[in-house]
Amino acid sequence: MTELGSYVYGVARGVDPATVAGLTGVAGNPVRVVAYAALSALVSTVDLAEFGEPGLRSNLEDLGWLEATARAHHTALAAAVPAGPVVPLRLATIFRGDDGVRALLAERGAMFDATLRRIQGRTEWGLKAYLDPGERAAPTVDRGDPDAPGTTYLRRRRAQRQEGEELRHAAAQGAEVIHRAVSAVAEAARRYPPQNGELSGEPREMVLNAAYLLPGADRAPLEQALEQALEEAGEQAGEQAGTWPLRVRWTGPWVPYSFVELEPEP
Amino acid sequence: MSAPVRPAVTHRLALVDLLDRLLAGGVVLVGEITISVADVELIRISLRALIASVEACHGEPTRGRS
Repeated sequence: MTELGSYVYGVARGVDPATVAGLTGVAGNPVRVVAYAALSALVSTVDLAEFGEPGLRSNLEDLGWLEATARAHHTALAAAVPAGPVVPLRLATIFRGDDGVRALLAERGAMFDATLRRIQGRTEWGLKAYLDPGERAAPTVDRGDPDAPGTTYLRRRRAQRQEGEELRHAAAQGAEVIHRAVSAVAEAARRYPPQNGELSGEPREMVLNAAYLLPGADRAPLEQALEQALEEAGEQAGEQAGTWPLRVRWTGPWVPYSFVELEPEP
Repeated sequence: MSAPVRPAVTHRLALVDLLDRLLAGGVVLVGEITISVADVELIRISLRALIASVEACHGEPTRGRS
């Protein structure tokens, strides 16, 4: 007999089932609403052979499965967000059935409510910065010393290594300044470890991987803070040095995944 | 009332950015739940191994979308 579970994407207030009607969730199953009092959980029924502990352990290591599940998780939450705030749950949070989901809403109702109030109207934005030497990476012309090619080679290697370290140092410093400046205008900020280049397909070294929470749906205040920080750095550095060897990239808007840790259980 | 917030649609998001948030963000609940992604580091390590093996097969890196 197939054992079924209830996969929970997130918790919101009074979600109209029409909001998620026709939406496909994890494992290709429909997204539906499980309500208790004023709260609504966004849920899909899943087969516990796939989503139970043993199945999940091996599936999480299957990149294709993980990607499909992660994207379905985001899609379900994103569909509900325009109607009001949604507290996202960690990927692969599964209950044995809808009764368990209702019990969760009953037991943690006050905390969900407090978190929903805190994130109401807020948006999360991601900022990533990479080491990018830009024009300074252009190979410097070294005519060398025809009498001592070996020495020239070693000298050039040493200069390159030193320049690489200086660039990395400058990029890391720039990332700190940028993060401070952007955090100052955000309601909350969080840093993630640098991403794995193999997973991201990004050849540049990542020096900042941050998330910011902002009221409203516009990231302009964050961009202004970033630009101002870059401008100030340019002025300080003067013409000869240019600015930090950085390339930055915004991501989002995100459901506030990074800013929803519930308080510990009472 | 502020304008509704519309999160980016999933195909426009890079998997790696999504995984940062879904494996280390979001509310973690304990209780009756069968499993939660508790050991993120373990998953990351096995993902790295997985990617390495995919690359070995196809001879080119797996690209995230952005």
